[in-house]
Amino acid sequence: MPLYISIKYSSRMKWISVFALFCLVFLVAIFFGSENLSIENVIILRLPRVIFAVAIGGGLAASGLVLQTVLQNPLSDPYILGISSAAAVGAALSNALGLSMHHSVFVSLLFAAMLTFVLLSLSKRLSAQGVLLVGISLNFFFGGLLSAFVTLSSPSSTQQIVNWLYGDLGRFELNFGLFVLIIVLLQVFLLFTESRKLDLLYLGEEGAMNSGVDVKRTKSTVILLSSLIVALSVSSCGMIGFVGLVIPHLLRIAGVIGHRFQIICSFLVGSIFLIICDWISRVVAAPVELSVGTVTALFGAPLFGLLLWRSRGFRS
Amino acid sequence: MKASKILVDIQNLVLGGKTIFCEQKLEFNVGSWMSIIGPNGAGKSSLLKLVCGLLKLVPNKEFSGKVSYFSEKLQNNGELHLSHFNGSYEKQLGSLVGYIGAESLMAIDIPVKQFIRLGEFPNYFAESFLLDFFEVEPYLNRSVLTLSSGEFQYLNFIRILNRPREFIFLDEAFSRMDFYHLKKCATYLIQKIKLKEVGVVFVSHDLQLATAWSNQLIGIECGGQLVQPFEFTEEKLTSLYGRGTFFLEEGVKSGKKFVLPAQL
Repeated sequence: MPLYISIKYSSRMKWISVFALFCLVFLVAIFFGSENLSIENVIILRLPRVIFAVAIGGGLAASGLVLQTVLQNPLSDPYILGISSAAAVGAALSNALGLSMHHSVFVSLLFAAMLTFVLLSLSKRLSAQGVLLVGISLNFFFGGLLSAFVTLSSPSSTQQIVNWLYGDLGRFELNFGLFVLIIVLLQVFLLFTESRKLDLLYLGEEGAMNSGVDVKRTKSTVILLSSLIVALSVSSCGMIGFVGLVIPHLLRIAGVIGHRFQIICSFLVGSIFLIICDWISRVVAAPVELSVGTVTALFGAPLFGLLLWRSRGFRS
Repeated sequence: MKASKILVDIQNLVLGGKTIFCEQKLEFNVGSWMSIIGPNGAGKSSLLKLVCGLLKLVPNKEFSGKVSYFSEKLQNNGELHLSHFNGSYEKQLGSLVGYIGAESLMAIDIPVKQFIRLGEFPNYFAESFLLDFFEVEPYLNRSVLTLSSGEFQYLNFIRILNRPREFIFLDEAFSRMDFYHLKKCATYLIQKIKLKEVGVVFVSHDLQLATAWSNQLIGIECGGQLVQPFEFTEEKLTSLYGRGTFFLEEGVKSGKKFVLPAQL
């Protein structure tokens, strides 16, 4: 079957090249920095950050991809449904109550889980556009709450909340990083099992349904899994924007098609992107460290703009 | 198991406050080409979508009514309230009936080869016979977004065929195709009908096409009253569509009646 073989062959080449790049960036980020460190210090200081970058970058990119498909909106990103703002409010509340960082993660997750539950029950009754609009409204609502917290907090708390909002991968130790990575990998794997159904959602809800997809169930599964990824990522490392929106588009521009390949590629490319951004944030103004969210925006936006400009698909 | 028919019994179907069908019974058979004609808003597309399990996806509409389905392939035959539709039932209907509407949309830029393969769910069939028969080779590497509406309809038709099903429901599915591609599609379906492998239900406003290949003709009047079998006469057409809309002429070669719009 020539058609089948050609698709399989090109996929294999892309798999190998993306995975090789991932390994290279991973090793460079661990062993090279603004100063030379002993192996022990590398394991304590750099490895957890890189592990978090893999988990958060990959998870956000994969969830951004599937949300864009399910919500049928190319502007969707993992933060569009308001889960991140809910988690942020949880973290701000923990900060105001003086809770420890680990407790703060728990409270953030709790807030995000409550919102996810609301969205899931609504997703059974609403169309994709309806869910998107509700998500945007909730995003604004929790954004308002967060703003109120920031305004009413003491100056030191405000600084902590703002720092946290811009993203920081070096807040937790290696064990917690590995735990987050395992959970995110499991969720991405579950998203991967939905990939053929997600492909069919390109045909719209009606087309997918007639092709034998249980659209409601697929939509709920995807919203649940991506919300959990976002909740975990925001509660542990703050709000790192841009990854979930841009990486899926970059892959499409590069001709990566089909969710089986796109989900894995998004995970790897999202990880690569965040590892590089984190490395830049550590090195570029050493010994001062920039927040990773700042670098993802400053570094990623022009790159994305350039690629969009060169891509014929986005020209009028 | 292969299905040979679908029996549908509709009772008081109300959609968005408007009664679409009161009490109707319909039988769709493998090995037959059924055409459904009727004025705009009579409920032709709603009927097709109802049988395919797609009707409830129309946004912001309230539904009520009962529908009974019977087919050898369906596990839970019997009466079903529309609000009781669940994913598994639609999944079963989806494996039985392929629905092609006039307005299909592709949300994303993918090549045609990938688009056709979307039809293979849940298994990989890779029907190379289809690709040869429909001469798809020149399209395969093109983006679906660069296709004309007629080309898209043609390839969407092939995508649906890529998954073997007992029934193909065509809702104005050929409206934008040229005669060459239209003939290809019709030839394929007629072959399958002769082999008793498929049943076709065809909705069209083109009465010539609707009567060209069908062995069953049904009219739907405004208000959802089915006229079956529909007699293809000037009087019946006038009653279906309105006064003085058509006149019929007999073809010189075929002797078949063909319909012309009344002069303005």
